[in-house]
Amino acid sequence: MSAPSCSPFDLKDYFYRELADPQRLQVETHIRVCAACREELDRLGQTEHALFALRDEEIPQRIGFVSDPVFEPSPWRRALASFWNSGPRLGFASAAMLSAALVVFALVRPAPAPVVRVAAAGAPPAVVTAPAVSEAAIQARIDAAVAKAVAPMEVRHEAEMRQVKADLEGARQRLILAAEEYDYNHKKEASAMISAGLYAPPQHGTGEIR
Amino acid sequence: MKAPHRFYALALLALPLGAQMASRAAVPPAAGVAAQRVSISNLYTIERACDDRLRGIGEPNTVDILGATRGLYLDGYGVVFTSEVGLVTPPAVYPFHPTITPQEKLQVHQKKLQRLPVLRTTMREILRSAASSLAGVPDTQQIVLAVRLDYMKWEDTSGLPAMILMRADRKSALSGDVTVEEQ
Repeated sequence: MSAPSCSPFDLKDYFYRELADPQRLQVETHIRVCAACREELDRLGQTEHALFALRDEEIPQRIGFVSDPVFEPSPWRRALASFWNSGPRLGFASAAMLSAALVVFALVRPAPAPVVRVAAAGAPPAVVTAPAVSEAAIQARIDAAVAKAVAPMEVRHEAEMRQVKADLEGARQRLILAAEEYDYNHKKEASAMISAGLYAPPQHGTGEIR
Repeated sequence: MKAPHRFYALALLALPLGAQMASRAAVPPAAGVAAQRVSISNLYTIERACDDRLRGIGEPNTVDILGATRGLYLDGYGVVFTSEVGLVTPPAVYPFHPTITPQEKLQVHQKKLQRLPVLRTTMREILRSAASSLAGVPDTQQIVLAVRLDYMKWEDTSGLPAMILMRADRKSALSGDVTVEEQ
C-alpha cells in the first residue's frame, strides 16, 4: 500500500486524462518537484503496460454442470463399456473369432506337396517329398540363369577373339612382307656376287664350245 | 677269179668308203665354225656388260638386278640372254615402318612406269652391242634378250609388263631392227 499522495489532485485522474487543463498543469508542476508522486505515476504506467500485454478472453456466457447431457458418453462408448464389462459376451466373441480364423485358414492355405514313393531294391520304401515344380522347370530356370550370367562374358570373349584375330592377321601380313623383302634381298645379293665377278667360267683350256 | 668277180669285190669294198665320204660332206661347215667362235668367256663378258647397263637405268643403286644375266648359244639358232630386274628398289619394312603406305605404293608404281621406256631403249642397245661382240655367230642366226621384271605382291602392276623379249637375227640387231614382245 503506497503512502497518501501529496499531489494537489488525484494522480489516477491525471493518468487517465480526466482532469481539466489548469488542473493538469498544476499536477505536472508538482510532479517535477515531487519524487514520490513521480514514482507513483511511473508505477501506474507499468501497471497499464502489463494489463495491455495480457490476451483478451471472452467472458463465459454460461456455467456448465456435470448433470448436463453434454457430458453423457456416446452410444458407441456406452455399448463398448457394457460389452467389455460382460464376461459371457467376451467369451462368445473370442470363440467366434477363433472359428472364423479356422475357416479362413482352411480356405486359403496352399495345396499340400504330393508324396512320391521311391522303391529301392533291398531297401525299405522311403517317402520322398517331391518339389512343387518339375525337374524340367528347374532345369529351364537354371539354364536361363546361366545364360543370363554367361551372356556378357561371351560378348566380351567374342570381342577379345576378334581383337586377337585382327592382331594375328596384322602379324601375318607383316611376316609376309618381311619374307618377301628377305627373298628380294637374297636374290639381289646373289646376283650382285655374280655381277661382281665372284663367279667366273673355268680358266683352263680355251673355254670354247666344241 | 674271173674279171666280173673282181669287179664286184672291189665295188663291195668301195661302198663303205663312199658312205664315209658322203657323211663327211653332209655336215654344214659354217655352223661348226660358228660354234667354235662363241666362247664361254665371250658370253660371260657380254653378261656382265648387260648387268652394268641394266643397273644404270635409273639413278645410282635404284635398279636392282635380281637375276644376273645368263647367256647361252643354241647350235643352229643363235644366242639367248636372260635377266631379271626390279626397276625400283622397294621401300624397306622394319619395326618402325611395318607396312607399305598407299603413298609409297603409288610412288613405286609411277617410278616404274617412268623407267619402262628407258629399259626398252637400254635393251635395244644391249642387243646391238651383243650382236657386235658375237662376230662368230652367222648373220642369219638370232640374238635374243629376255628381261623379266619382278614385282612385290603389294605392288600395283597395271601398265607394267612381266617380261620384255627382244630378238633379231644378228644382221638386223646390228642395224637396230628388232622384234619386241611384252607379256
